[in-house]
This record gives sequence, C-alpha cells and structure tokens, in this order.
Amino acid sequence: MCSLGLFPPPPPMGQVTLYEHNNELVTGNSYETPPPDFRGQWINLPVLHLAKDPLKTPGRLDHGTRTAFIHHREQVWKRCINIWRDVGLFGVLNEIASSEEEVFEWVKTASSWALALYRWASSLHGSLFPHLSLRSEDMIAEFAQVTNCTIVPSLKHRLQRNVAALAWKPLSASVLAVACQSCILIWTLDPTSLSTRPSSGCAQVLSHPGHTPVTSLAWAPSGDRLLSASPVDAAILVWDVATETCVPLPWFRGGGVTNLLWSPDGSKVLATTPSAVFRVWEAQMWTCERWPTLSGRCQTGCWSPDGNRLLFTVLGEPLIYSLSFPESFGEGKGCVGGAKSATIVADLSETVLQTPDGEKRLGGEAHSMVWDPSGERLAVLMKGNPQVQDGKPVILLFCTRNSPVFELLPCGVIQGEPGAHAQLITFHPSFNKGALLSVCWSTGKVTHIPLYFVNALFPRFRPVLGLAQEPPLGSGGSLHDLPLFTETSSTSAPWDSLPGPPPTQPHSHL
Amino acid sequence: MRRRVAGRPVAHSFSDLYSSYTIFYLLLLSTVIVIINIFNVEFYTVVPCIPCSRLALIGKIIHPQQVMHSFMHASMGMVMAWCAAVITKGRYSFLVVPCTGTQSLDSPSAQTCFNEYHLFFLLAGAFIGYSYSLLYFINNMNYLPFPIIQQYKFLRFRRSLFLLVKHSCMESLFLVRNFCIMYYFLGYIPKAWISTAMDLRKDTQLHPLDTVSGLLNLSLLYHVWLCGVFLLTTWYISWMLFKIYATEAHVFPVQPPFAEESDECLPQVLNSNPPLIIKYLALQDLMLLSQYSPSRRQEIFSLSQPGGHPHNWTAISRECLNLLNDMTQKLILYQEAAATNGRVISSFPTEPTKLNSPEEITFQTPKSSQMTRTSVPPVAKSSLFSSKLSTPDIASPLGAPFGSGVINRMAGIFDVNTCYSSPQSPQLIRRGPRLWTSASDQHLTEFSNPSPSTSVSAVSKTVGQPSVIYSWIQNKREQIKNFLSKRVLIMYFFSKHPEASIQAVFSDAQMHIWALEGLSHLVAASFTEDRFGVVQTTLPAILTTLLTLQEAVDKYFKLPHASSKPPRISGSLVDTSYKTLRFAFRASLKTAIYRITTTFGEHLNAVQASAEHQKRLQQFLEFKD
Repeated sequence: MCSLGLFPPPPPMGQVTLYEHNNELVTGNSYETPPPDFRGQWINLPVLHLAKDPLKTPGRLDHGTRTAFIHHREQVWKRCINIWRDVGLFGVLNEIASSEEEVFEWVKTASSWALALYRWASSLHGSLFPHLSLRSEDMIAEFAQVTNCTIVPSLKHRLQRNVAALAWKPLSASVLAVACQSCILIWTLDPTSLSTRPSSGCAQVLSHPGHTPVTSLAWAPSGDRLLSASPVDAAILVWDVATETCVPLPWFRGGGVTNLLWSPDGSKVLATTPSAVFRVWEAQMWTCERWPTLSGRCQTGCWSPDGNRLLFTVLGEPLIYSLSFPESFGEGKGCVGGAKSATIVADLSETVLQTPDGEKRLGGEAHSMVWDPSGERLAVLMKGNPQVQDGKPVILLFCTRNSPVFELLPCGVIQGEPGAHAQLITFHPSFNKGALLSVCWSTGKVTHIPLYFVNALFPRFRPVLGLAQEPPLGSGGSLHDLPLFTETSSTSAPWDSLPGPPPTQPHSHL
Repeated sequence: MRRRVAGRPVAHSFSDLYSSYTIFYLLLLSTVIVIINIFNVEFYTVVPCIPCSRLALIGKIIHPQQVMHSFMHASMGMVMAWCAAVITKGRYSFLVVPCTGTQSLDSPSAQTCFNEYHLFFLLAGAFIGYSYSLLYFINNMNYLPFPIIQQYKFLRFRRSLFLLVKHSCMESLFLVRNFCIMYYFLGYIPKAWISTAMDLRKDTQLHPLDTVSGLLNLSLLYHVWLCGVFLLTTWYISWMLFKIYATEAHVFPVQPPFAEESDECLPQVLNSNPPLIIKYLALQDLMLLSQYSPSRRQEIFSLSQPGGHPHNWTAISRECLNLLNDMTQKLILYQEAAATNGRVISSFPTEPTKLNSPEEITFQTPKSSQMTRTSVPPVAKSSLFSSKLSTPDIASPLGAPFGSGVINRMAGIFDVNTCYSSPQSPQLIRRGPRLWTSASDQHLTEFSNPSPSTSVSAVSKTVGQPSVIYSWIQNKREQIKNFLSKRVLIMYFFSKHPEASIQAVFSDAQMHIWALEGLSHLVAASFTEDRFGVVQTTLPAILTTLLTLQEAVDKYFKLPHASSKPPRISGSLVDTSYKTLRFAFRASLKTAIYRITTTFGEHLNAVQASAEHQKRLQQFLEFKD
C-alpha cells in the first residue's frame, strides 16, 4: 500500500510543473520559458489560454423567438393545451391552479390538490433517493467529474443547455457527443471546415423519455455504440447513434446512474450510482455484477489498459481501492468475473511532509482519477481541502505497473500557477514518448505536461536493430529494470548522446 | 410455452377450469396461435420490402399471398373473438338467444332471437385480425431487425413486454374506434344477411347496434376492447418470441470438427448461397467472433494442415470483399442514374457493348484491357480492379508459395504489391486472359443483377440488341411516359418517393455493415495475432475496396435527399431502423477504415496503392477525414 508520506515534497510556491524526465517532475518559473534544449529535441507543446471574453454569456439567453413577440394573453384552455404540449400534465395543473377568475373554483381547487399530491409523491420519491430532490443544475454539479462546471459553448444549439459531459467518438475525426439537459446532441464537425460556428443542422438530437438530465456519456472504444446515463433514470441507454435506436439496460435498485466508464479494451463498463453501490457491466452479453461499496458512493474510477483492473475511490474516504478482474480464458460469455473483494492500494489521508521551507500538508479525498493509456502513470485530482495548500485542488502523480504484480509508487505533485485551480485532468490517448497529461486550470489555461518515459504501448515505433546498440539510457530505457526512484548520474541530457536519429522519429521495421 | 402464455390469463379467471368446454376453447386458441406462428415463419424477411411508389404499396397489399395472409388473419381473429365471447359467458356468448320481450306470443319459432352483440363481437375480431395483417405489411413488421447489442433471450423479452402491452392497448383502442365507425355505416349488411339466412327475428327490446345510441354501450365497447387487447397481445407475443429466437446469435464453427459437417462451418456458409437469414446470421457471427473471440480468430488466421493454405481467411475475406464491391457497384449505378436523370439511356449503350463480348476479352492483350478500362467511369475502374483481386483464382495461386514455406511478412507484401499494382508485370500478362475473363464476367453479372433502380437494369438488359426496333420501342416508351406524366392522378400513383427509393438501395445494408465490422476487426487483430501473415496478402485489396467504397459513398451522399434524416418515432413497437441504415453504413465504413489505419499506423505507407488512395490513406492517418 502506498501512502503520501513517501511523496517527494511539493515544489516551492511560484514554481510550475513543466514535464517529467528521469522520473522527476521538473519545475520552472512559468510555462512560457521551457529550457532551450527542449525546443529542438523534444516536443514543444502550446499552452492554450482561453480568454473568457469571447465566451461571455450572450446578451440574450433564450435562443427561441418567443421574446421577440409581444406577449399575448390567451384563453386559459388554449394556454393549457400549449403547456401540455411543452411541459406535460404537471405544467397544466400549475397553470390551472395559478389562473385567476378564469376557471371554475372547483377545478382550481382540484388541480391545486392534485398538484400538492404530486409534489408529496415526488418528495417521497426524493426521500428514498435524496439526490432526486436536487435541481438538475445541482445534480450536474454534484455528479460531474469537473470541479467547477461553467462550460459556455461556441457550438450553439437550442437544446444545448447545462452541458455535463462531452465525448469524442473514437475512430472518427469529427463526431462529438454532448450531454445536455434534455437530450444528447451528436455534432458532426468537419475537421477541414473553416467555419468557426457550425450550424445547428450539424447536430443530431437523441432523446429518450425520462432520460434527463444526461450527465455521463461513454463511447465504446470500437466506436460503434454510445452509452448514456442520467442520475434520474435507472436505465443506462445503449445507443446506435447512426440509426438513432436505443436499448435501455434497466436496473431498478440504486436510483440512477451518475458516471459511466468504458474499459480501454472495450470489455467492461463501470457504472456508478448515487447510492453506495456500483456496477460493472460486461459488454458482450450485457450482464452486470454489483459491488456494494463500504461507505458512500463511488466517486471516481479508472481502468487499467487491459481492462483487468479497476481503481476506484469512495466518497468520504481518503483511500484508493483496486478491484481485479481475472481474465477468463474459457471464452465465458456473459460473465463479469470480478474478484470477491477490493484491496486498498493507496492511502491518501493527510500527512505532513518536511520540506526545506517548513512543514507542508498533503492529502485528502480524491475527486477524479485518470490512468494513462500505457498504464504507467496515474494522476489523481484531489478535492480542495482548506488544510492543504489553502484549499487548492492538488494533482498527485503516481507511477504504476500492472504486470506481473500491481504496483503503485509515488511520483510527485503537479503544481500550476499561483491562484490557478486544476479543474479537469486527462491523458492524451496516444502519446508515443510516454504520457501527456493535460490540465485545465481555473484561469482558462490548458497546459500539457509531458511525462517522458519509454512507453510500453509504442514499442513498435522503435527500430528493432537499433535497440540493441543503443547506449544504456539513463531515463526511460532502464525504467523497467531498475527500481523506481533510482537516481541516475547523467547530468547532460541523454538524448544528446544518441548516435542515431533522435527518438522523436518513429521508425517502422518495414 | 407460447400456448401457455396465451392461455393462462384466461384460464385463471375461471373456476371451472377443467371443464371440457374450457379445455376445448383453450385448444382452439392454441391452434390459432400455432397458425399465426406458421404465418410468422413463412412471411418473415431480413431485407425489408420498401415500396417506392404508391402503386407499389397498393400492389404489395393486393398481392395474392398477402391477401391470403389477411384473410387467414381475419378468420383467426374471428375464431379468437368467438372463443373470448363464449368464455365470458355473458350475454355476448351465443348468436341465438331466447327473446326477452316476446314471451306472450308463445309460438316456438319466436322463442329464439338474433343476438346482435355476438355478431358485433365476431366482426370486431375479424376486423382487428385483418387490420393486424394490414399493418403487419405496411409497417414492415415481417422485417427482422437484428439487435444492436447481444442480450439473453429472457432479458430481451422482458424488456419489450411492457412496450408490447402498451402498444396493443393503444392499437386496440384505435381499431375498436375504426370498427365502430365502419359498423355504423355498413353494419346492416351482415346483420340482415345472418338474420335472413338463419331465419331469426330481431329482438325489439334491444337497441340496434348500428345507431349512435346503440354503439354508446360502454360495457360492450369495453369487452370488445379487452378482446382486442387479448388478441393483439397474444399475437404480438408470438411475433416477438419468433423475432427473438430467429435473430439470436448463432455460432458457426470456423473449422469443421468432422469432415462431413463442413457445410455448416462459417467459410462454406458465407460462400454458398444459403437462405438470406442464414447468411445474415453467419455475418453476424463473423462480426462477433472478430470482436470477442481470440481463439476463433486464431482459427481463421490458421493454415490448412496438408498444404498450408489460408483457406479460411481466403474464403471469408473474399466473400466480404465481394459483398462490398457489389455495394460499390450498386451505389455507382444508382448515382449515375440519378445524376443523368433521364439521360441514362444515352450514356449506357456504349459501355456494356464492350463488356458484353466475353469471347473477345478472353483473348485480349493488355493493350485491349486498357481500352476497356478507359471506357468505364473512374470510380468503376478501380473497383473493377479490386473485384478482380478478390476472385478466388488469383488468391490461391498467390497464397500457395507463401503459405507453404516460412516466409517473412515483408516479402509477402512486397511481392503481392508488385504484381498487383503494375499490370505490365510478366506474371500478370501471363495470367492476363483468365483474369480479365473472370473480372468481366463478374462485372457482367453485376450489371444483369436486378438492381433497385429498375430503369437502369431494364436498360442494361435490353441493351444487347442495338436495333431499329429497340430504338423505336424506346421512343414509344418515352412518348407514353410524357403523355402519362401530364395526368396528375397517374403521377400520384407512379411518382417515386425519393426517400423510399434511397431506403430501398440500402435495404440490405445490415449485411454490409457486418462485413465491414468483421473484416476491419479481423485486420486490426491480425496486427498482433496473425502469425503467418495471411492477412497481409489481401491487405492491399481490402484497403482498395474500402477506399473505393468510401469514394462511392461520399459521392452518393451528395445527392439530394440522401443525407436528410427521416423523422424518428421513438418508443414504438414498430422497428424503423431500416430507414436510417444508410447512415449506419456510412458511419461503420468510416470507422472500419479508421480502425485499420490507427492499428497499422505508419506501416500503411509500405502498402502499395494508387496515388489517389495513398493520399486518402494519409488523410485518414492524420485524422483529417
């Protein structure tokens, strides 16, 4: 088990983390000036700065044409019909109950009684599943994997309200799924198109009655199916996006699904619920196993690249659990085959670290976790804790190894500019020099932090013959053999001594 | 099991469950269900039949088979309504009842009266049965949609049960309403007929039912509605169960465990011409095994034991490529027909005359082959080339020297590329005549295949005799067409609905989608799992086919109406997924190409393809398509 006591001290205030090399996180004064040798040999990543000005909320929030017309008072029954079409029975009752002097008294009384009854019934429902009493915006804020969600789209659509999740379709260059308040929008954006604001005709609307608000989306890694989930609807929907057909996967306990995560090999799906239970679906015959977690709901999770190990955290506990799914060799259809119990692999509880600047505190609860596609780095975004770094969410980086035995070793703390809070972290899906962590900061900056190591995912891009003649690399090449945290003595950058072409040029053996 | 489902709710509501009458009725009901199921089995189809014009729709309904279907369903509905009426034991149960108001007359013949309620019940049953059959064909309910995810049968059934009951309740309501309207206007005919034929008199105490006040009998309407719900639910349940059982994934062995069972294994099934449902199931199985089953993939990549030929892979890839090439041809033909928009006749006679003479082509030199190639349109040219690649005659002689020995993959690819890409190489010239024969034969069959755009196929069939009579017929036909097109009513029936004709082109696209998915998953898996390099021998052909198809699809979707979506009806029992199959096809084609390019990455630069395709591949590699 790994604890925070083993962590290297966080960088001094004012320093920002630039990259990882030689198993160490290198810091600098600012993002704009990386060391000069990185310009030539290593990749030069842009730092995106999203100025908030062009994304300001538009003057007119309602995109409909209703505000352009003079309000006309209609007959109450006509209004009722309109409202029934827009909102439903609830709206009709509301309208009748609030109308004055237009309907009979007994109709009005009856509708207010019916309204009261409906509210009581829904409050009963809400007391069974407390999250259902939240407003839909709060629900999105509660269950989204972003720390503070204020997304203002430049893709505009009438139905695109309260966006909770975005997902690019794998094996495609142009399809983006957006989870909205009332539907899922599928944008088809031509990557060669020059228009900055695609028309709403590019969007395809997927909606299903009772499935609102949508807070989580997950594309199958093979790109052919889309899963969507809502904290209100107990069923996960499996969409065939092109034909717009969906199959609900119902499960009546747990009251809704908050988050979906497809394992990278496409064989399993993690579905977390608002209650203290999560489920793992097997993606061939769509059967599931449920895991009643110890206390609280499952906050976040991530899959190992081969889909055989799941790391997850539970709300209210500073621990990372691991759950293994031994590979089934017998071609077992319809069997999830998880281990009987989860093991604790890391303890993130608060600890005091001794640094040259004095004592520093580190730890707390995890907010979200991401695992890089090669399975060698794990980044954990912590929840803001007033005891730690003045309540700033901290990003912890771990080195992991998945085979032959699972190992989790501390690597360092990633720090941003002063005053910037990390909001969202994610790994690049195919970065062949290691892993590339992208962080969205609250200042509107998106920074890319390259973590250089020899990536097990891309061994085929190394020259086969050249590998044997290569001088022993201090950094990446020996990562598998030497224990982690071994200091190497090479002071000069090892890429300078390479006789052949720089490692940035991938070589095929054909 | 189906019979029990039908019988149980009725049986539970009766105390005298074991009386001989009840058992007789239950037997009768189960017979009805069996007959309905026979019709389900006889009439199902995996390719939806989409009428392109209103006349075609009418023709579909009055087709003798369909009329028989409707008639049988009407009579089955009547039988079920009779059973339901008798079992309820109320006043609806018998056609002949003792008269209520006429005791004083005391004549024995006056004792029995005609019970109109019973007739109403029977006719309602017949009407609902007939409407079921009508809607069955109009909504294409005989089409078997395959599920988008695999699930256990019970779960699928349970999932659709709620929807089914809801749908039958609503539909029964509408049908009862329609029946009431019909009975109000036409009800006097069967009433008068029955009462005169059976010499029954009318009960004067009761309201006649073909009046407004008679029809407002709520108890009667409720019972008729209930009877309709019962009828529709049982029929839909049997229909649903049939659908679930028929579309369940079936596992075809890749290699036969015993030699005599070789007809049932996947490559044989794909290459023979089985009933379409078997072919669909085989392609579905191919798609599933390519995604989920490493051990069966290994069997596909394996070599045959004596000889070392990759027979399994050759057979499977050949069939998939043939399917995709057929699709390319179909799209090109349709697109040309739509683009020339009536000028089809002038553009076609020049081309097929050359293709029509296989004797010449057999003895042609490479020079003449180039002449032929210049005459076909640019897209057809490359697809002709690729269809040639996938013919069995070429794949096996090429596979033999590589498959037998231990050769490295690079040599295999290199060799195949040189002989495929440069038509002037000696190897190809030597085999030239045979190659061109097979290619042109295939092209010919594609031309004479009944294609959905009937005008084109008709033209290409008759094009063989370029004579005076022919042109005269053409002229006359044009004149008649022009004359008729001015009559509005005729145009109403004959005009083709553009959306429907586009749907008809892609009606069997599910097959091609599975072929694409299966092929691309197998090729992607071969990167790590193919130990003998059998896939690499066909990789250039696969890439060429996919890219040519992509071109054809791109062009096709630029036609008007092609990229507009028909409105979706969600949450209905009627499956309309066949209406949007073209989008699914386009999406899975793109995904298939991306799957191959992302797996192979830079290695694809070593695969030889035409410069155009090389450029296209580069776009896919850079995710710019």
